[in-house]
Amino acid sequence: MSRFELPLWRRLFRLPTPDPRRAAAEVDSELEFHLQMRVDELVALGMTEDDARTEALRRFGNLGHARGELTRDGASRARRSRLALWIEDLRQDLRLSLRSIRRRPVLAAVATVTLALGLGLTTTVLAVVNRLVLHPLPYPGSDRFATVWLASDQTAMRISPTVRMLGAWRAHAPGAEWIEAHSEEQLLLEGGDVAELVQTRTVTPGLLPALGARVAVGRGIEPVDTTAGAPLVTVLSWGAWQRRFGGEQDALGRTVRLDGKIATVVGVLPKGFDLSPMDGRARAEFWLPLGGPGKGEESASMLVLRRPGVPVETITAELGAALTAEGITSDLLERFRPRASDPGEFADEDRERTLWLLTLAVALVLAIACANVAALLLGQAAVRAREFGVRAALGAGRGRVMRQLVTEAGLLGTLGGVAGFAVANAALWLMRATRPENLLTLDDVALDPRVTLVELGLTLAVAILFGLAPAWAVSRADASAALVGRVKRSLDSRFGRSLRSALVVGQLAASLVLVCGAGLLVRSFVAERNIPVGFEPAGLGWVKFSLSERLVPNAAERVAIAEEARAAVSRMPELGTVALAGDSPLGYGIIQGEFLIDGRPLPDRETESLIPFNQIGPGYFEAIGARLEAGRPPDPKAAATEVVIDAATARQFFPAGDAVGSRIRYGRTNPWKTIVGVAPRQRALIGAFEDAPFVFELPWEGAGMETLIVRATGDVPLQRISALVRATDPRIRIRSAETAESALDERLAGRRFTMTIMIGFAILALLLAAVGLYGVVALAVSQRTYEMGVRIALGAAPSRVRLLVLREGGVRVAIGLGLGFVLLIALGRLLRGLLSDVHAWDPVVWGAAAAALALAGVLACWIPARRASRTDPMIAIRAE
Amino acid sequence: MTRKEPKDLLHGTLDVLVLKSLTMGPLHGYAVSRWIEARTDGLLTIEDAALYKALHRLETQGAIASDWGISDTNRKAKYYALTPTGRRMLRAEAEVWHRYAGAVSAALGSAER
Repeated sequence: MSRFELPLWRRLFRLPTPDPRRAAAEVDSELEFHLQMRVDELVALGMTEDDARTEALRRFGNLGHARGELTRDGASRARRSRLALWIEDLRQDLRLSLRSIRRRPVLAAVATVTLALGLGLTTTVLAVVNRLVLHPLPYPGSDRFATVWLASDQTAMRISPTVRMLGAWRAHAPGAEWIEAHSEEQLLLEGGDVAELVQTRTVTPGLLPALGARVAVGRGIEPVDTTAGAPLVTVLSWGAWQRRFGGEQDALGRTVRLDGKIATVVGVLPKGFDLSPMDGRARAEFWLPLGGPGKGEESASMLVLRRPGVPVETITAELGAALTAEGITSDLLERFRPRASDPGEFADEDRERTLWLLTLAVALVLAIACANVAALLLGQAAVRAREFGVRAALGAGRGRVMRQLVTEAGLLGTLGGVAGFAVANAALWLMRATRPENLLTLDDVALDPRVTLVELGLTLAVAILFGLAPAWAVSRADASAALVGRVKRSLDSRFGRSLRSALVVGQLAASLVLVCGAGLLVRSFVAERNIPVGFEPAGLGWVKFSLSERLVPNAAERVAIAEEARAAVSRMPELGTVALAGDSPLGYGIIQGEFLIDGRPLPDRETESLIPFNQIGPGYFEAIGARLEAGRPPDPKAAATEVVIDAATARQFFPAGDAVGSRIRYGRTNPWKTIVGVAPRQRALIGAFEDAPFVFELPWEGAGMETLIVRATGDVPLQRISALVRATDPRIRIRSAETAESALDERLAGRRFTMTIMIGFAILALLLAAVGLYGVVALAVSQRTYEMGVRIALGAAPSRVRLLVLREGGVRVAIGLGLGFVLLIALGRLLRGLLSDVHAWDPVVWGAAAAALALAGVLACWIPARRASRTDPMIAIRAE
Repeated sequence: MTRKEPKDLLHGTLDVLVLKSLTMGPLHGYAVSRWIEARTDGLLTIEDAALYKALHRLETQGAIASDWGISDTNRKAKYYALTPTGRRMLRAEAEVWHRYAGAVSAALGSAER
């Protein structure tokens, strides 16, 4: 390969760049010159002008042919030479930039770190959004997934279909490529003398292959495993295989005891595979077969892969028709019809909102970081006026100087981008380490090529943006004046100064928005946490179990077994009251009926409503630590004729305070029940059925209450309680066990996570803005050294000089605050959407944010102010 | 760098002469042609078209570089100058040429004997 090299003179003196379009003209004038010289020579030898010309042309040869060829050559050479010139310039720019960065290592370090933080955090949030919002399901064909629920037309309620329906749907839904089912359960894993609750999933044999899970070892769950009399098998998750079996091959064939049943390990799933991205449930360790004879009434979550082009509505119609065709009917199906929907339809809207909030926040952080670096470079440009003046004098055009500044910014940007990549990786690691339990998908967030590409693009855009600011300022300044000496007042034009100020004011405004946002989140978090839950969480726990009707058909026996378990647990010395209930204090059942109050006029039309309720056994209120606000608990001997309502219900339906003693019923023909007490407002309903009445019922005849509520004096020994419950009767299955505190925590975990991140962003923003303000004020002070010196020489007190500088910063902070509030008001609608339950106009938060910003501003100005007040007038004045 | 095969000799000869002509400093095309005529005692008269093609070819190869300047006769002229690549090329080509010329004259000499 030959390389085009520039002659020395071209490298020394910047001559006009060759232009391919001028190639023909150049060739013509070159040849013209040659012929003319030849003619002159021949004329000098005595030829006539005409003869000389003829002779010259003859000696030249084929002029036309040569002209064409030379023009073609010339044009292509010009193109290449342009590129070479460009590369040469770039090389020179890079060399100069490197030199300039080496000369100012602190500046470069600050700029790099700032950019790295901005870009790194942006990349992190982008990676999370990319994974959680844009590509939530890591399975093949997931954009054609649909979930199936039995949904009510009147209410938002939906329930899981049963395995029997699955059979009907598979036979009659041509729009579905496949329909599979899964459900999750906590089972008691027993081994030796320890028992522990483990997360399990039951899946139809087709589900794992359909989701692209190829077993790593052994086999998966096969249709044969769901046939009558098939031995119970289990497939391990990769994690369970490593943790519980040491990753040994001989795990296959070993047995585990799950909820009293022996299951043989037949295979191991691939690393990282789980269904948690689908429903956000905990990762499963053991996978079991779903379906088979006698399992028709088990309910499960359904997953459908739609054929390409088939909309969910078609699937819904097909599923409804399938049930009719198979003759599957029930009371339930009168009210609830199958409905297919996008998996995203029921996705966590809260989470999505949160992620957009974080995106907005991180965009602001990035903007602040960029403004910071731009202001920094702008300040440097002012200080480097002489350098640019010299270059201009040596023939570097304004464009060249601008280009060098942009190159310098690009270099800094690249450094920042590379460091940002490291920051992003660290941030992702940190996020995985601190993520809340229920945000499992965070584990799969990675910097995939797409995200990396976006980061690169962002870096480039950002670098050019903040490189242009100083370049623009320089281009507007009078470079030649710099050489003459009035350095500080020449290149540091008013324009440059005001641009820098504008950038700092913008930063302050943006950080005010962030600080306010974080403050609002904190407020809402604290408010949420302070909402009375209606029970005492410390020392409270519950274990949910189930007694299958199939195993224990006799209702009375089921009640007796549950009571036996309760009695056994209550004998544990570290426990106080132990009570049975239908659900935990955070859960509830739903009665569909008409809420009627004795003595009130009947509505004209029968109106069906949903009445949340819980069934409670003796000692329930004592166990949850709730003191009745009025009346007494229902008397168990009163059978189902006495009820307790919660305080909100009492206020809403009995505003006169006459709840206790009133009678209610759930339908026009139902028996009346007497309200005997009023319990505190129950947290369970907040955000769900705010306006519905909440009723504590006694268990009705034969109803099994399958939640054991325990109050402990210290920590709740959930594992031992579970084991004890299991030991009561082999037919009991443990479904879950948790403490009230962890259950409440889990509800708030997502918000706490968001809040923590937002606080981090706010602090970072504040820090960056303070650094930016410091830079601007410090530069202003250094440029006014002379003035300060004169002031001090004339007798100004140091405190007055300090005040002068502080005012310099104060004005900017004030403008920044004003602009920030304007921005907040402008963003108000958006913020209200993102922070649904937060009052965006919170004077406390706004005030606190403004105070924080003002404080940061004072701190940022303090050092330059002190320096100014210590100016030695002699030195300052002489130096000018 | 492209290596010259012997069959390219005529090209090579012209190229090496053009490069040689520029060793003393930048020249315009006409001056190059005059230099070659003078240095070869008029024995080698090269068609001007070929000369310019050679100049442009060498420029494309990066052996020489060009720029516009003012001639002695006060006319705008295109000047050519050697680049470092050109210098290296000249050394290599001259060596090839010497070897070739030596071989040919040795062969002719021995045939005469």
